[in-house]
Amino acid sequence: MEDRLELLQGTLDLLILRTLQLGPTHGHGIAKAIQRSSEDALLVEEGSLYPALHRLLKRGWITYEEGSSENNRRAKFYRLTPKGKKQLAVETTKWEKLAQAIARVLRPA
Amino acid sequence: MRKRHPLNGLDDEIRDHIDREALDNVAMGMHPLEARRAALRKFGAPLRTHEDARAVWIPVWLDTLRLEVRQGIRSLLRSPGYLLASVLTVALTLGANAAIFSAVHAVLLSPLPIREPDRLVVGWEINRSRNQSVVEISYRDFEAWQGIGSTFAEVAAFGSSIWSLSLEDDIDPVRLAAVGVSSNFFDTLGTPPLWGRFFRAEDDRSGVVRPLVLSHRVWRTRFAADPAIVGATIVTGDGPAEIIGVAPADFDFPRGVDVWLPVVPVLAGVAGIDGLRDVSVLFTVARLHEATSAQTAEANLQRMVDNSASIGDRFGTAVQLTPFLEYELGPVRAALWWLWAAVGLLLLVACGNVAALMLGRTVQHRREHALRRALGASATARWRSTGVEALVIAVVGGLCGLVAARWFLHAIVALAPDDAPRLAGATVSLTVVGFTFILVLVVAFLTASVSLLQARRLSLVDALRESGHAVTGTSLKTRAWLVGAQVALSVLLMTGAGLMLRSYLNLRHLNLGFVPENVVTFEIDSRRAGAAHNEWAAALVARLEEMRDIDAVGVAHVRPLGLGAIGTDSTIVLEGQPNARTSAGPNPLVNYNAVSPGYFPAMRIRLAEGRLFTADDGGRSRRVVVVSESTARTLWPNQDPLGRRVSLLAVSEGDPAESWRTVIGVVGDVRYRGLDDVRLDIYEPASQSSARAGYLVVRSTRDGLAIAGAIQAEARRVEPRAIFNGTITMEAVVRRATATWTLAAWLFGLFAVSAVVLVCVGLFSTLSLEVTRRSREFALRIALGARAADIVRRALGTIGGCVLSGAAIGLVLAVLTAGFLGRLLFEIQPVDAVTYAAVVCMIALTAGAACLVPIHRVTRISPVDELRRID
Repeated sequence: MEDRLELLQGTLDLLILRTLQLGPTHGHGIAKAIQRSSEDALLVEEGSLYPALHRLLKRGWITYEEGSSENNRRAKFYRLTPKGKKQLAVETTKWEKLAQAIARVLRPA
Repeated sequence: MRKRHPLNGLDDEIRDHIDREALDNVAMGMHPLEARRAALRKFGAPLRTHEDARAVWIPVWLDTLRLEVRQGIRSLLRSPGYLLASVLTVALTLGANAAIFSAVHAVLLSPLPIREPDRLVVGWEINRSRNQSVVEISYRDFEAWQGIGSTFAEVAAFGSSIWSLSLEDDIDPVRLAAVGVSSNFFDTLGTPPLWGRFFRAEDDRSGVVRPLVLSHRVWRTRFAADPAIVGATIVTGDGPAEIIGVAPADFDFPRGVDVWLPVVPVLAGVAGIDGLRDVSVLFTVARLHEATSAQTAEANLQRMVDNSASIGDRFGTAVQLTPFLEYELGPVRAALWWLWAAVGLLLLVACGNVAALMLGRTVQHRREHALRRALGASATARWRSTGVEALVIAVVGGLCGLVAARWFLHAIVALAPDDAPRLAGATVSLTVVGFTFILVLVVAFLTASVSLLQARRLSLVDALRESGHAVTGTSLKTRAWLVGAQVALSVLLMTGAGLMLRSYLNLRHLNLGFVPENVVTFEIDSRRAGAAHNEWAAALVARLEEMRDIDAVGVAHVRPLGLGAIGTDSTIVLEGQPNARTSAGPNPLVNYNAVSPGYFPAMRIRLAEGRLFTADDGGRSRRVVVVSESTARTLWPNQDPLGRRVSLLAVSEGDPAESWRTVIGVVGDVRYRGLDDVRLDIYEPASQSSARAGYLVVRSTRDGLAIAGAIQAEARRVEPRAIFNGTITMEAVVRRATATWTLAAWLFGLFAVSAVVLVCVGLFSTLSLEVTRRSREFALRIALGARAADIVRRALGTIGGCVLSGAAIGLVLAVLTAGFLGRLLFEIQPVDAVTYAAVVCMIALTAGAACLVPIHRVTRISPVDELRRID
């Protein structure tokens, strides 16, 4: 547990968008997906997931629908909007550039 | 559009999430309870999640405010008495403020369809040697005014009085109010036409068809607001006229005008003399240059008049310029400004009461607040809750007040003068709502700040220790100051009300010279020329006299208290004075009227000496006149006027030597031109005059309006084409003339009474609280032998001092500001001893009334009971 890296706020948004690109799902599903794809390296405080989802909703990058889940319970299913798709590409590029820049700085002189 | 909000069901969502995680944990082999705990741990604090998610949509401060407001409302509902008292006080005073502001906005603040009215002035001449405060000028004089380029940007002229233009219409002939204006009249005012065009220079040339501009009201009522009427020709009593344009909706200058016509053709057409030079019926309206002030303009004009060669018979002529808005709006303007000030004062007094109530509550709850502070609440929490409560009360009061304002406004419009410019259109508009909202914020601020300032002085420790009384020593001092301030404001209001009331009473008891009850008047037009019309009128009068329910009937050329400066001024020459025109100069002008014999009894004008006209004073008899007492006193001081002879140059034709008239009677003065305007009256028999007697005056035993129909039918029988117009009772005429003072007196009085009631209530509650607070102390003193009078003196001490100083300050302020009431005061001085004495008495009475119960309680304190009582 202690090995898990904490996420910064902006990056959580990016991860959510990426997760939803693979298909609509509910909040718990998103949390599980992130955990799985990062191979358990990332610690997602699930409490912060929902405020992040609402931020994305407010910006119009994702939207939701009421539906019923596997065990027949009602849940909100989130999915990407076209704007969100575009934003994901933009953010991904920014993140990669940032990572490259930091890597360059950290490279042994 | 999805109407659901993402926040809906967030709780369920969170719960589901945790359930799913728990299920997954169970699937991984955990014990159900452990699974659930692990899931909760992993999730974090659901409440925090919920708050953070909410914070995305709703700013935190807004959320907090919502909470505070809900709490505030709940807290207020727990004290319904307090809530009701504060809301009611605020609602009524805010409503009054909104209503008065609606009137002020409609009359004074909304823009007129006139360009920069504050740069306009209305001008005429005055002749001090003849005691004439308003003297019209001729067209040539007007052109001379135009010649002073440096003073005025533009000068126009308009007729000083309105004449009746009959509109020939087979269906419904009617008389319209017409005025003659110079061709640049509308351009000077900067008014754009609604339809068509206004006058141009070429319209001054007399043609067969005269150009005519319609007022919006006539266009709407007579011509069904049809734009196609522009260009049409209509037939009037003076010939055909072409409608060239329609004035915009709000344009009413001069007041009450239905149509405008070019004045030059009218003047040029006066037979026998040079109308443009010798007929003086014009006022000017001029636009000042940017840099010129009204005083400079007056001085320049005066210089021109003094140097002018055409002075001749105008000795002692001076020039007077009045600001346009003052001329147009009259005393209503002053009345409205003062009423607005008064109602503002009332609002402050009301705020004082509400602030005191709030203070009581704060003090009462100080224990609760102290506990909260001790448990960790922030210091600002109390401020916020007090502020929110004040805001809630103010907002609720404001909303109720706006509803009440509509009724208040109805009442104001009903009381106000019928012809009050633009008042009829006053409504509770968006502007008024906005203004009320600002007032709401002011009220909330004022009332809350008193409590907050006081609350800072309440120490926490003492609050927790004390017994929870509703009042503390310091808060009582604050209350006492509040009451003092309220007393000062009330004194101001009462002084204003007292002065207004006395002006109104002076007005009511004014001797108008006639008795208006049961008299109804009509404007009649037989479509004949002057003398023939008078013959017809005499026949009509004879027929009407035989009708039932009619006491007396008469006709007259001028009716008392006509709107505006309507009347005929005539020069007069006394027998024995040289006959030339120039010697008529030093004689004052007389107010001319041509009347039938029945006029005097119909109006119940008092006969002082001699006799009145009879049927024998006809066209072929000796020419006679009747004069008023003032005329007799002025023209023949200390002599008997009966038998003297005079000549009225203005109305006589032919050789003046043949038109001497003998004075046969003296009657009382009648106010023809205005309530405070006594002229020198002179009467001729209508049968001996060529001046058209266009007013029918009927005194009946019953309500005059009820028999108006019968009278009209009778008139039509004598002349089928006769026009009947302007049916109005003399009582209504008098009421219209006094309406501004009626309005001012009523409203000022209402505000003053309200303020007094509020002060009484405030004083009473403060005194009661003081007695309650110190009852133990008093009990001790009584037990130790103090006398009742001593105790009473102590109880009233601080508060009495505040009341007295408040009253003193109020009186000083009143003396300083009463002078500005100006025109609103009728025959009364601003510093009127009776009024001020009455105000002082009222304050004493109010204070006394408020004191009664508390003092009674003080004297009934039983030391034994009091000292035994455990708090």
